[in-house]
Amino acid sequence: MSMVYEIGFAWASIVAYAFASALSVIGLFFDKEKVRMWAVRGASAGLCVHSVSIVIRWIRIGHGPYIGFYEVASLLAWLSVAMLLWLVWRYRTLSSAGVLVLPIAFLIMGASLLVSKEAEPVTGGLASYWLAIHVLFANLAYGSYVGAFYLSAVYLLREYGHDRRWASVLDKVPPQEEMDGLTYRLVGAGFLFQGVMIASGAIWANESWGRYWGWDPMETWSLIAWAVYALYLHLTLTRGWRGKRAAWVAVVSLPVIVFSLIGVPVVYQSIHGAYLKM
Amino acid sequence: MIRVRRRLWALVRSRRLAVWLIGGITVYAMLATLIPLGAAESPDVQVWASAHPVLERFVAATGMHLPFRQPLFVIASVLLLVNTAGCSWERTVGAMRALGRGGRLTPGILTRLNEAPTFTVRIEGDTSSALHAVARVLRESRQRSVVGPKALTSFSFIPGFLGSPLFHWGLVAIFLFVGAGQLTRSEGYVDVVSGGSVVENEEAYLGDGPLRGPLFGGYTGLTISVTDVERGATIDGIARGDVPTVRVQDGGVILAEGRVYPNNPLSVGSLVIHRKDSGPGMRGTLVVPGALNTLPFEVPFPGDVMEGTVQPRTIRTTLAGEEVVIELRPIKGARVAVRILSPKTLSTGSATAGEGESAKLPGGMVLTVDELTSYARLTVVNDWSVPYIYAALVLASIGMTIGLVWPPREVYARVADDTEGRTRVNVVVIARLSDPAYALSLRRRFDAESGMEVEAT
Repeated sequence: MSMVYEIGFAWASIVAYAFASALSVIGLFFDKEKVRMWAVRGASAGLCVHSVSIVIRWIRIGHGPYIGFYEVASLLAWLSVAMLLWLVWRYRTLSSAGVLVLPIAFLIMGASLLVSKEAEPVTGGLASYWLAIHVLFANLAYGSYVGAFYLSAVYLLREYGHDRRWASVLDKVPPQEEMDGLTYRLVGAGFLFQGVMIASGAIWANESWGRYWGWDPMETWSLIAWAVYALYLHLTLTRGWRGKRAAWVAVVSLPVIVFSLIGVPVVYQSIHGAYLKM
Repeated sequence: MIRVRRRLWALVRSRRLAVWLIGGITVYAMLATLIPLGAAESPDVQVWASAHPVLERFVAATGMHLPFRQPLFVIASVLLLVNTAGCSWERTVGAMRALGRGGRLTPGILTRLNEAPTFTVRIEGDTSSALHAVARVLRESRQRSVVGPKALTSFSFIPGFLGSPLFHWGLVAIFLFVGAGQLTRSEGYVDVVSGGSVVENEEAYLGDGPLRGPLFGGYTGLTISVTDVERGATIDGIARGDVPTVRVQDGGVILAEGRVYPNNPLSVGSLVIHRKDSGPGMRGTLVVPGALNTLPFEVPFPGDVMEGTVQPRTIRTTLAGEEVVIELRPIKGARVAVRILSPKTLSTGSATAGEGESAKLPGGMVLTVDELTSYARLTVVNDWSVPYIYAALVLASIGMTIGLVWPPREVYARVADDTEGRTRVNVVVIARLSDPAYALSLRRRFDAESGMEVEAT
């Protein structure tokens, strides 16, 4: 019975995200702040019911949302919306960023509900407290990088779209330098969290398989993603890349981390493949 | 010569070089993931090679099936290590220099305050009250200030200055210990039938790091025994598969013993034993006409009998001066199929035997199945560097955390003039390399204070 509620709440969150997506697009292109705020309220409602769905499943199956494509995709969508709402709470004028986030969250949730929702048991190599540590920091890293992506995308929209009809919406967004600074801090935080994720993964791999690093595609790509953000930090801090250039690096870096989280197990044969079974 | 050394030192700690090396290694790693990794004879490599014959010629020639052992990658990694060490040293010196200033206004900072301040603030009040107001605003952004008669110096949390150096030195340590560990580690696997044992020696290992012998000499010679294999064990409510109980002994002294399963290896010093696989095994004896004694043997059989994937194994002996190869294969019904593979003159027909039974073989040989049991394949790794790598990871994480939470900032303020009840204060902010937006946020804080106004620049 609780699986019915779990799926029901998940579908309710998709409806809420879809509703919020539509409102955010309308609010942006017709410059209606009230409509954009209703989009934020819709996203908040979606996040609440989405949280209920995750918690019901967690209680039902006895582990967190980190095994199988359904759980991983659902959590990534949750993190994307949660980071958007945090930024809007901090800077109300960033509500226009919803147009970037909500359609993607809606699509990810939709995709997750098309695959198997059977719970994968925590057995064998997965049965370790390192799993929770590793996944926690992976999610914190993703959330931070997604926030950096939003801010950079809004930065670039304002830089390149200043003569567009909807550009006036972005007038009230925090100053470019402030967004640049906050992007840097979010990337820094994500870099730290991802470093801990990689370290905990290596320690766990040594406990589970007898080697801390094996150049498995998942391991290699997590290092690649970390190196990409290391490049952002070096270019920003030591080569003086600020503003548009830094924003572009933050924007094109996000697909790398997303690919390393959910693309690699789909594309490559990986020892980590079990965690993203469809 | 001094010029050469200076240029070399500048290159070693060059940030541009760091960017190029990180970027280059990243692209190389991306390309490497497009090609299956492994030795030429591995199944994945062979399948890929036959599907891409033209590409395979290039890949094989460049060794890209083992990309992370190629000289290009190794050299780039060593260069990155040297560059990181250079940067670490530079950051350490910079941090020490900043801390060594101890709140003094050096000539360089005085010049900047007088000629090129970051910004200037007009504050209502005399010199003393203006500087104390500046100190108050700085306190709100977690800066600690020392107020003098005409100037003020302010530092962020002191350990924050060590965050970046600590992180970079942690990276250097990781590089060094990983490299040293890879050069000296031994890794392999042993198949041990339940009730049997093997000695940790050269035969147990698939490969050693090239410096293992010169630095560490031979092997431990410890005895690794499997006293029991519990099939389909459930431990702490979780299915763990087949779980062997492993014992490590030095002569008659038991050094360690315990059940081995994923996330629960057995460790003795730097020697770590994991469970890799398990399957049926047998213990038996072979009587060969003309031999002085019966020949006991133990044989593991990788695979699964019920699923039909079990792999046969062979034992060898000598009969009338000729080598005899006997194949053994467990079959359903708890029996073992026995046949002679060579010489051809003896390879007529086959026999089966259950536990406690004997099979008569051509040539007068008799094979007895003493026990049908299980075996465990154990991975054996001897790598002294692992705890040091963990320590370096912790060091780097602490450094990163400190650098992020308490970015090092210095703020210097000096009274430019004091007229008509208003004081102009020049402010220099040093935080660009660690906190690029700080100067701007500080400027906004001052502007937001009543009685203060930041002059337009």
